[in-house]
Amino acid sequence: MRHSLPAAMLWLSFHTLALHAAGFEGRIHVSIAQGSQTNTLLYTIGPEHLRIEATGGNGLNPINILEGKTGTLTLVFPNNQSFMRLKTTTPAAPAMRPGMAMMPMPPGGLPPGVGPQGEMSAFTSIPTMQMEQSPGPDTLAGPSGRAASNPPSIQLKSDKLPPGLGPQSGNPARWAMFTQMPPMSQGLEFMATGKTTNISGFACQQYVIKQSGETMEVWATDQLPPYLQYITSQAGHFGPRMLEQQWPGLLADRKLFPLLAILSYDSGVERLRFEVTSIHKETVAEPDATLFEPKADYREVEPRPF
Amino acid sequence: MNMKTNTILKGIASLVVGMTLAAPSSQGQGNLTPPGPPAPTMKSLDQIEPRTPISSLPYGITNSGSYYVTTNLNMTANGDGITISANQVTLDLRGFTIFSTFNGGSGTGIHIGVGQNDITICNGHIQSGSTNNNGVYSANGFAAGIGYFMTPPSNVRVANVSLSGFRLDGIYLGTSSSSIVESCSVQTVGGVGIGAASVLHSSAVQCGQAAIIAVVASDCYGSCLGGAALDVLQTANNCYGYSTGGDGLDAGVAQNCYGWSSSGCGLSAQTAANCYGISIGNIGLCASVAAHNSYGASSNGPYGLFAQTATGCTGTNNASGYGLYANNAENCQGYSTNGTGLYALNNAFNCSGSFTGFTGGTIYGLYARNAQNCYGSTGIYGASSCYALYVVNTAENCTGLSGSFAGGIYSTCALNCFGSSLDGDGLDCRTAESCYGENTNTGGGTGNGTGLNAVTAQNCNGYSYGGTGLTANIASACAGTTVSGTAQNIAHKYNMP
Repeated sequence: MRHSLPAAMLWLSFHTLALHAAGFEGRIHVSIAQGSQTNTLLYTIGPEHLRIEATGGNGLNPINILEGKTGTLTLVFPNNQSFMRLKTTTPAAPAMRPGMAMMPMPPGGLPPGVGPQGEMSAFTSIPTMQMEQSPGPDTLAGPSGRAASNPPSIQLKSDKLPPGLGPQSGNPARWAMFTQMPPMSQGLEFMATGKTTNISGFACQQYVIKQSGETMEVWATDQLPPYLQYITSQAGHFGPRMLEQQWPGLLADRKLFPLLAILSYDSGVERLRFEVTSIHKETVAEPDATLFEPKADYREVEPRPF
Repeated sequence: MNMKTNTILKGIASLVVGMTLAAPSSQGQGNLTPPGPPAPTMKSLDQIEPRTPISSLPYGITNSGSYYVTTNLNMTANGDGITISANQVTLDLRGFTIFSTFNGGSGTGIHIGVGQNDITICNGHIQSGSTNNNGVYSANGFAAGIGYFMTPPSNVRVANVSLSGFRLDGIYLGTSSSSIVESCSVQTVGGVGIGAASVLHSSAVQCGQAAIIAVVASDCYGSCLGGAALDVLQTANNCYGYSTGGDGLDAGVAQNCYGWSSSGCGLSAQTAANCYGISIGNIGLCASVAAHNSYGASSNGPYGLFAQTATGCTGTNNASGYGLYANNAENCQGYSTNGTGLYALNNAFNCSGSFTGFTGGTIYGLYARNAQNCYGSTGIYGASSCYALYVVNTAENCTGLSGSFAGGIYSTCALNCFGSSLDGDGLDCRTAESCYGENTNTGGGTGNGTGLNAVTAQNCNGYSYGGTGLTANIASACAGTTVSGTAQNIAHKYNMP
C-alpha cells in the first residue's frame, strides 16, 4: 500500500466536488476477478463522501473514505484500530519512485552528448547490452543454487541436419548489437469505439485501452461519480505499470465509472474482469460518522514515507 | 673444650640476646593511631560510567546520559513505558523485559519524544499482549513497541531487542533520518514490524502490514499479511520477504533476494540480480530495468518473470500468462502451460520458450521480433494458429518444434533454421536461407502440413510425409521430399532440377 498511495492520490483531485456533480447517491456492488482471486467491493456514495470497503476477505483490508470537498482520503484499518489520512496532492507523476535518490548532476547539467539529456524517465536509462557469445539456456540454474525447472523437451525428429541446413554447432554469433529498445510502457492508448449499450440502467460507452499489444475493453458511464480505485494495504512495485494499474486512472481522468472491464490474454483467457454486480440508487444521509469517519477510539497513524 | 672457647660462646650468646632485646628501642617512635577508616581501592560503577537505574514504570528520561533497567518491568496502567525526552541517551535493557498486558492499552513500550536525537536502545525485550486472530489484532498491552511522536528522531540505533504482541508497529523510527535497527526480532504486530533507514540482520514476522520498511536492508527476513513484506527504497541484499496480501519483496536494487506472495508480485525491483520471485496470483519476479540470473514463477498471474532486459533468467507460468516477458532476453528460458513461454518484445538471443497446454487463441513457445540461437517448442495441444517459435522479423540459427497442429517456425526471414511440426507446417517464412522444415505426421488425415513454406528459398530442404515437402515461389538449390504427398511446389526454380 505504501507505494500505491502516491499514485492513488493523483486521482483524488478529480474527485473533489465531483461527487456533487455526478448527482448520484446510493450503493454499488463490484466484483473484481484477477488471477485466482475474486474480490468484492461496496461503494457507498453520499452527497459529500465516498466509502469503499471490501465485503469479503480476511479483515485486513482497509476502508477507503473520500471526502469530496477536500479530496482527503482516509484509510481506516479496523483490524488494528487505526487510521491514516492522505491529503490531496498536485498531480505530477514521478518518473521514479518517490524518495528514490537521483544521480547528482553537475551545475548546468551534463554537456551535450554525455549522459542522459533533458528529462529522463525511469526507462530510458537502460544501458546498451553488449552481446557476447555465452552459454545457452541449458546451463542455467536458478539463484540460490536452486535448480530452475526446465520446460519439457521434445526430441528432434531429425537427429542430424545436413551441413548448411538449420542450426549448426559451433556457429559463432554474427548478431549485431541489440539496438536501444523503446520503453515497455509506451504507447498507452485510450479510445472510444463508438459502441454504446445500457448496463444496469446506465448508458455506457465502450472504450478500448491498448498497451504493448495488450487490449482492455471497458464499458463505462459518466452518470456515476468518477471511478476511484480501492486501495488496500497491498504495496505497489518498482516494475513497469501494467494495464491493471493504469486503467483506473485513465477512467478517473475522464470522469467515468466502469460497469464492465475485461483484460484478456491473446489466447482469450480473461486476465482481469471488473464487473458491477448491482447498483442501488438511494439516499445516503449525511453527516453519518458511522459511515464516513473512523471510530473515536481509533489511533491515527502517519502515512508511511514511501 | 677449653676455657677460651667457652668465653667466646658466652659472648656470642650475650650479643644475640642483647641485640634481640635492644631491637625495638632501635626503631623510630611513630603514631600508632590509624589515619582513618579503610578506603576503597577500586572505582565504583558510577565513577567508571555514571548510569541511572530504572526500576519501575512509567519512567521518563529527561536528561542526557546512560540508563539501565534493573529488573523485569510491568506497565500496569495505560500509557508509555519509558519516555525519552532528551538527546544523547543510552538505554540498556540488560536482558530484562518491559511488558504490559493492560486491556485496551494505547501506549508505546519505549517512546521517543519530539525531535530527539542520538538515542541508543539495546539488549532486552519488550512484550505486549496483542494477538492475531485472522488478521485482527487485539488491543492488549502496549499499542506499539518502540516509536516516536510527531517528528522522527535522528541518529537512533536499536540493537539486540526482541519485541512481540503489538496491535500497531513493532519498531518504527522513520526512514528520513539516520536510524539503524540491528539484530532485532519482531513478532505479531498489526502494523509495521520494523521501520528504519537501515535494517540489518533482523526479522519481523506475523505483521499486519509491511514487515520491514527500510532504505537499505541486509540479511533480513519478513513476513506479513498485508503490504510488502520487505519494502526497501534502495538496496536489499540477502533478504527474504513473504506476504499474503502484498508484494513479497520490493526494492530499488535487489540482489540475492527471495520474494513470495500470494496476491502481489513475488519480488519487484528496478534491478534484480540473483533473485527468486514467486507469486500465486500475480507476477513472480518483476524488474522494471533489468533482471540478471534470476527466476520468476507465477501460478496464475500474468507473468512468471517480467523485465525490461533479462539475462540468464528463467520464467515459468502455470496458467495462461507468459512465462518470461522482456523487451530483450538473452540466455533466458520461459515456460508456460497455456500461454506464451517466452515473449521478447524485441530481441531474443540464446533463449528457449515453450508451452505445453492450450486453451484457444494464439500463443507461442517463443515470440520475438528478432531471434538468434533460439529454441521454441509446443506440447501436443497447440492449434494451427500457434507456433513453437514466432519471429516477426529475422530468425537465425533457430529451432522450432511442435508436437501438435501448431507450426514449427514462423519468421519473415529465416536463416539456418530448423522447423518441425507434427501436424502443421514445419517452417513458414517469406525468405529462407539454409533452412530445413518438416512435417512428420505419418498418420494422414488433417495433419499433412507443409515441410517448408517460403516465398523465396535458397539452399533449403523441406519434407512432409503426406503433404508438400517444400513450397516456394522462387527457389534456388532447394529440394523437397515426401512419402505420399507432393515433394515440392515451386513456381520458379534455379540451380535445381
